[in-house]
Amino acid sequence: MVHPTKDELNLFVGNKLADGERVRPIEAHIAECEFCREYCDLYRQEQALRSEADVMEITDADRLIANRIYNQAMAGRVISLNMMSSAQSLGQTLMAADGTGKTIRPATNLATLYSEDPEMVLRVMRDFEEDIDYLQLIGADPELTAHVLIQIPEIKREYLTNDFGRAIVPRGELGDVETLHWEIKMPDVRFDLRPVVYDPEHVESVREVTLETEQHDRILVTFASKTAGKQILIRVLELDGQTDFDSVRVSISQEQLQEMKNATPNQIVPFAIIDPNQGINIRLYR
Amino acid sequence: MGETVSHFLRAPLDRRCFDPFFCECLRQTIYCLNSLRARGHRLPVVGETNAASIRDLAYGILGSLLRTERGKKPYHVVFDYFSGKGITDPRDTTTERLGNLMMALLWSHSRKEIHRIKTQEDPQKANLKRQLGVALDGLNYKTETIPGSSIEYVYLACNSDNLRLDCPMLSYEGLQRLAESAHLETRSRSQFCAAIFAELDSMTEVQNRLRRHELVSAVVSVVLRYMDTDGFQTPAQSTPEGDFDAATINQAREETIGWLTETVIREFVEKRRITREIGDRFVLAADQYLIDLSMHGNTDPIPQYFREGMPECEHTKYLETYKYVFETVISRAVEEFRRRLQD
Repeated sequence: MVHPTKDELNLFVGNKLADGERVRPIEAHIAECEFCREYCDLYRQEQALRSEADVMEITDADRLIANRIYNQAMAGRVISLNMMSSAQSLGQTLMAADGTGKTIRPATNLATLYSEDPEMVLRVMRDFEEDIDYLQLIGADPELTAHVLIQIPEIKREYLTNDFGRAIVPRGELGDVETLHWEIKMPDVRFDLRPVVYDPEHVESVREVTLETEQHDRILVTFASKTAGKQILIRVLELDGQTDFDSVRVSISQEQLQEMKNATPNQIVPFAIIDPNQGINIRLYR
Repeated sequence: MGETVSHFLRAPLDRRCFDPFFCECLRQTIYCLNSLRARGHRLPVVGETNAASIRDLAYGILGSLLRTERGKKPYHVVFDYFSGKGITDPRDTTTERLGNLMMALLWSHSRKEIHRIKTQEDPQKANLKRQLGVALDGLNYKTETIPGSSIEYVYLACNSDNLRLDCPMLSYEGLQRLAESAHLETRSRSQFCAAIFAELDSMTEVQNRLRRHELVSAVVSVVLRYMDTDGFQTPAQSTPEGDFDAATINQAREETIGWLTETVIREFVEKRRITREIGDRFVLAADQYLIDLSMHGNTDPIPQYFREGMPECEHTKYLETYKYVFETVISRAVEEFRRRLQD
């Protein structure tokens, strides 16, 4: 017998040979043919590896890598928003208060905007009780809604969202919201500082820390002690490996604090008093 | 796979499309790596059977494949690849084809990344080569080049008038054995070279000069093996080709691939033996073949490269339609690659 074809051997290994009469001659051939036996072993091994890969569990470490790759893709990206027609949007909306027994806080939906890729919704809201306007960005991934800039280029306005995707807008600043062009600007660079957990073995503290990304963005963070807490000073040392760059916007966020300032190369930019017991999110926008 | 790829290509910034795509890529990359390892490829990981190390290597490969450089569109490597295949809207293509193309990309990128990691210049090795160069350029040795060739020969200066040019050259394997025994007896690099030449002088059946790049390669392989502590360097298996400057090999490979596209592939396309698209895939497969050849000195069977480049094509179709063209492409590429390295 001449060598069976590779397709025949593949079917043979998988017990899928339609013609049952071919099985015996192939078996006999394999028993004496080193090449075909080796091929069948290799094919079996490949199939086993493939099956193993198909059922492989995805771990937390895998998800972290996926996050890093995804954040890299989103860095600095500007996402245009489309206005949802009044028929599509919810129109007048009452927002629920936070907890039972409290009064309902009336809020009106002034406009709803959306993007398809990534899928996000921006609602422009008016809160009559608090007498404020605010923007609420909604998306499946909090990374996309927290600490991002909502921009309206034609009136040169931009608003920084907090941890919950919300940004406050001074009353009357927006005008006719439905005629404006809205976009979301993702941060170009992200740094997240987490509060230190007390460790009796390591009691020393630092006043300065240099943070760096894989793309060679580098900032110096200095903590200056004040009676009321700590003031944070930021100096942008490098962007994209360049020490000479145009100004960049730096934002500092904590749960109750949002602040954004322009910084030029090596300029020390002071930010307000922060709570040393909470995480600090630092973002740079070019 | 194809369905997931299609969703991703349509909405790459949507987490609900990106996450399943990433998971599928991770699974298939780990499959590629395990498959290469099972076929005897040496992977740049600590502990060849360590699943965690294989996973780390897969992270590195995907980090590079799915990267987004500043100012470029998201996942530009993947999108450039698909647009190079004429796919701008995934809805115009079958999911089966998308899956096959993605698998071909994962195979080729995995091989390329392994090659890149392995050929990163080892500073310890570079330093050793430099020191050897200094020793061989000293007064005790002479280096000369035969007119019309770029190969340098080195010999003891005292033998200038006594070269046994009629005898055969010592084989590289013989030189490696010589270097092994010389290394055991000596304590410095200059003593090491001197001991090799002293022993060579006594072997009257062979020439008393050596090809300089072979000498450097043999010395480097022996010394690094004794200094090696990180478990995955395998200098003992180095070959003269392996010790060529990585940049030289890459340049020769790139030139060969350019030449292949312009001549052999172009001819086959003009004669309508293959389409332009299949020609592009053959070029990619030939590139993989040359990478393996230059890295390991050996390769997988030729049909394996065909299967990785054209996973949708059945073996019978390969035998009937493509075998001659594909084997010609590979053999011409190897011939040209070797010729360019010799130059």
